[in-house]
Amino acid sequence: MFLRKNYLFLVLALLLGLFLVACGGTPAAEEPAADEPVAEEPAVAAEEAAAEEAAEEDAGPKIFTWAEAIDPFDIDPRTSYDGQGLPVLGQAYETLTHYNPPGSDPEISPELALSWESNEDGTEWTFVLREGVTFHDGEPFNAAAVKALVENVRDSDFATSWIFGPIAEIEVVDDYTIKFTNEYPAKLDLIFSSAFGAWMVSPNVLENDQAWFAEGVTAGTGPYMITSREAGARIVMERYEEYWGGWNENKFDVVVFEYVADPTVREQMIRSGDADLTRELDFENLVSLDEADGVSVKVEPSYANQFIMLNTAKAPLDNVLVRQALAASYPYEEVIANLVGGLATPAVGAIPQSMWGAASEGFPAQDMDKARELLAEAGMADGGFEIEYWAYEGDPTNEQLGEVWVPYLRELGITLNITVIDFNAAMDAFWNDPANAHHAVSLNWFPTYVTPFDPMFSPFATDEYFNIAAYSNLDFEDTLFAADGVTATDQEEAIALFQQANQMLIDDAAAIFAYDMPMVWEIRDDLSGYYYSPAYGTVIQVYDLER
Amino acid sequence: MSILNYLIRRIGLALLVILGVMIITFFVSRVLPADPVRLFVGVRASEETVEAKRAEFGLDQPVPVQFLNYAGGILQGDFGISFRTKRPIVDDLKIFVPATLELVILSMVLAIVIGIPVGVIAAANRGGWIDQISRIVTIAGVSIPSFWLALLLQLLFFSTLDWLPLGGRLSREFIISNPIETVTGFYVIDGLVTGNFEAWRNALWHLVLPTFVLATYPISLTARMTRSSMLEVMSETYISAAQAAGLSRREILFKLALKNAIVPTLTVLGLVFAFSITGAILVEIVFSWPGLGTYVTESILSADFPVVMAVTLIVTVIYVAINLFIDILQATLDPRVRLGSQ
Amino acid sequence: MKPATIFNRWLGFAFTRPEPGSANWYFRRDKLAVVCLFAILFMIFVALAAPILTPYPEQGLGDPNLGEKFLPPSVAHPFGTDDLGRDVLARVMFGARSSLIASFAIVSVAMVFGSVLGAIAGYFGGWIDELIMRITDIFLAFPPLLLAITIATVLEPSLRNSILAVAVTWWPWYTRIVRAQAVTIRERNYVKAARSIGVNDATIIRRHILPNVLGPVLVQATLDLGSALLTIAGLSFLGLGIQPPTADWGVMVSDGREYVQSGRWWIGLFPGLAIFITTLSFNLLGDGVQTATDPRIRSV
Repeated sequence: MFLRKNYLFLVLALLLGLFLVACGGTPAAEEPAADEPVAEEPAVAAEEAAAEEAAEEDAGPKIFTWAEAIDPFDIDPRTSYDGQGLPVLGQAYETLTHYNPPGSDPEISPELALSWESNEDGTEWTFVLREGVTFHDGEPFNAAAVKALVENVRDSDFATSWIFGPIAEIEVVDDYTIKFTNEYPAKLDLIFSSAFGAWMVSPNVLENDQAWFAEGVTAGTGPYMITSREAGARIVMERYEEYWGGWNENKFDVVVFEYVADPTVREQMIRSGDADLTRELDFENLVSLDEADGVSVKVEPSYANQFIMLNTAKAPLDNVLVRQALAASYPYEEVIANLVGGLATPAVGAIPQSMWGAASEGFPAQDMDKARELLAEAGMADGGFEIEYWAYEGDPTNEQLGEVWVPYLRELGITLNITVIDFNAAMDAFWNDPANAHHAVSLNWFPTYVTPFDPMFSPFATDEYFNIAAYSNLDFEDTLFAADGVTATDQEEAIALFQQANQMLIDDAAAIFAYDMPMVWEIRDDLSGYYYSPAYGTVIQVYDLER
Repeated sequence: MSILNYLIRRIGLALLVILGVMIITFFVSRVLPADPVRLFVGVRASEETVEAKRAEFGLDQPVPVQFLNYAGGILQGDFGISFRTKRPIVDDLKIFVPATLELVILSMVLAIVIGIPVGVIAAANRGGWIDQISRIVTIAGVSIPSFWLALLLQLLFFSTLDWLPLGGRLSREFIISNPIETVTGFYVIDGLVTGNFEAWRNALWHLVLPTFVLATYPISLTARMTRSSMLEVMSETYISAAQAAGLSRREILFKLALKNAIVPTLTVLGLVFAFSITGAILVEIVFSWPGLGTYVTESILSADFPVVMAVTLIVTVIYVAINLFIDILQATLDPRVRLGSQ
Repeated sequence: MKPATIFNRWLGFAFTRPEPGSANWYFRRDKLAVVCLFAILFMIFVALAAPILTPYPEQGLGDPNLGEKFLPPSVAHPFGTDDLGRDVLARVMFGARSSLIASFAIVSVAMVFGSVLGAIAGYFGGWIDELIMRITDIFLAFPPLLLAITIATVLEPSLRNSILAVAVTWWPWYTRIVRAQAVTIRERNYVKAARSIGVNDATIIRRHILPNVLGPVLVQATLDLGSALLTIAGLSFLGLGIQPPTADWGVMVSDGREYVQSGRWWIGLFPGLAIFITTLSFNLLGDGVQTATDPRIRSV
């Protein structure tokens, strides 16, 4: 027995020793060695490869590769309503007017419409259209085409149909002049700059449905048209020879969207030059990416913000006090200071700070005492319940937003369970049975067009598709519509009403308004002509870029 | 039992197994989701659309009828429609199956070419240092998580040395401007057949890392199994007799012993295939290889049940077919297998 | 058979001086396997004592420490810190819990379920045998990880469900082993005698069949622990296993993968190494046990 005991001790001691050596020894030796080559060498090599490639490609077509995460579910320009469809639509379709980046003068500039004017109260609008423009199917772009499109969208049950809600009558004055009469005042020049639902489409294809477009067909006026689509893998677009803007040899002939869900692989693609443009990479890698040769990181203002929707249909979150307690317990300051690569900024409710109408005070702050009081008031002083938090697959930030919350909820006696889930699967689960879905879910929102109406209406109006808070408050909706109704005529009044509606959302704690988001693009730095307007969310027009 | 009887029994069993697998996949994809039609058309669709689709898919019929339709469809090569891409699954499979099989077959070839000799040599040196080293290396080979090994190799050969491509099947410039025309779907063959040697070289280059990672487990497993079959054979009396008769060591090992050890080793190949094809799921993700693994994981994430089930079914059928082939081969080589099977 | 009996047997195995030539004696000559046994015991110790061993137990459980994000390995954080500033060593220690629990649970569930079915099939024979074995064949026809993925897809992701998903693919192996043994035991005289005096079938299976198949089943179980761990790690890597913020090695490798290119290699390296070493120990141990108990292949 004596021998055996010693033996056991020996092995344990040995193992412990090995363990300590492994802990203490390796890092110091490897750290500097591994840090540098990873960050720099591939970039150098990539640059060489890119140069070689450029030389090679002088003869063949110039290809622009855009790495996106998710193959768009819907590329019907009238119904597509998410950030995945936009990059493709933005190459193939155009709007009548264009909303410029914040701070530009004018705010709105011509695109397919050359000029426009309205009467005093914003009920009558006349647009003069660009001549000599054709759709990809050869059909001329004219007033009749605009009328057909607007009526088609307005009278449909598309999720986007509300944007043309104010328009009552459309009159084709002549081939290139069109007149709209509104039911109530509305800023049509703004509405026609919308990133959703306002793309001009050939009248020949309006009777077709989403499935028809999904085959990989485009019928817009834009510089590129889809030539092939491999579901789940790539969309190839080639230049439309008749594009009214014209072509020169520095522009790209082919735009390839490569769909790669894995952010790690997309990061590798942009680092190695296999991709010219990408987005939605891990924020924590941006510094290293910007330092890498050949890559440029563009941090842009955006109208996007990050909500954590609180499901009012699911107990105990049906109790407003509980929701308020949750909102009070959220570590806003900590998140803004440390996550999202330090790029997030504080938000007041649903209206992003970059947009007109945003409130300049009332930024949220974590207040654990208030949270405890509210819980006590709700009769749950010791917590004692669990919260299902859903984070969407593919964006690590979503997961982190839940993870940082866990310890604070634990202080309140609340357990937070995180589930990582596909976006569409999550939406399906919610709409199948709201009371059986998440308690809290992260939602990244950017607006249809630049109005405070949108980030409040689509995610918070009764039964709207993105209202995954199951929030329903008719007072709120009345206020919102009242604000929208005076937007064209009395902006001051509109702002007051929008802020009132916004305050209702904050008071009801329909969501935790975590922060405003920046938009970040990763782009190869040998490209010139980069231009981005935040009103179009996830669109960069490849036509602007040259190499 | 005669060989014919054995064949009939064995094939009957394989068919039974495939039927069973079909029942399971049918159950999971049609019966478990609350409403597969809703998943397909999306929650915004009207009730009429839902009902129309339901009738179109035959989902308004009783479950046994649905099963017959499902089974009938599969027999005609119709695996249904993907919820996510809305395309017939069989179209996607035509692209992804060859990509995965290319990896799997190459790794099985490596398993045979490397694994069997290593096993034989280890058995011949039983207890010696070669045997000890091969024991540790092969056990390490079946213990290393493939996704982690893949990561390490990417770090070394792409990020640090920049010798090999990081992932994918072909470089971008070839995909767009000089793709390999599809004949069989195997780039290694198609590139040669169509005479596109530049793209062929590029495809081979892309195969190196994924094949190596995927083959690690099969090589090690084959080596271990070969070693133990060899040890069993070599303990038999006829080997001692052969030694006594003065046959050379080489002859005894590779001709006499290996010949007899090959039958049990063949069983391993069925297993090796199973491990390669499922291992491919993890390896493909890390190397963004456009095969069944990538296809199935993306479908998992979006709750695209029909795809997951179609892939499960097709992989299982391939697996059953390979096992059937191996069993029959064994039975022809070694009559004892037939007799012992009862 | 009572758990206590099994336990006593194991204890006996470990603490009595082995007869030369016995399996135990052979096993103890295999130094590598013995070292692996201790390595596994050490891992279990680490998993149990993790809260005491690490200065950052709350980070091991998942609490962020945002001020210390992405620190490279140092004396304070030997394995560095992750994207939320958590000590990777603490995470690896806590991650040992789910990994070890999962591998033991998978093997136990599969072993118990598979053995009972196998005993029933072998003992009763006839159509019961035929039915059970054909079902077994069907399950064996699924490549293992694939069926687990299929099941895990349908169930909500969690540790329990991923254990179940893997166990479902695992039991048929035990059914086969136990059935083969049970068929021969059934014909033994004492079993026949018990039956003739009217001892009921359940008792015979429990008293006579199961204890006698325990040996080969336990050897198989030891061999399976490593593959079970690899499979469950694969599921977690795919996001089908345990959910954050609970530490898990597979999830950590998957998270760490995102940061490799920006030079933070330590986040994914160490958890992967932990999977590798633990699986290796399980497999070397299993190999040692198998070799020691199988006279045909043990080295002289």
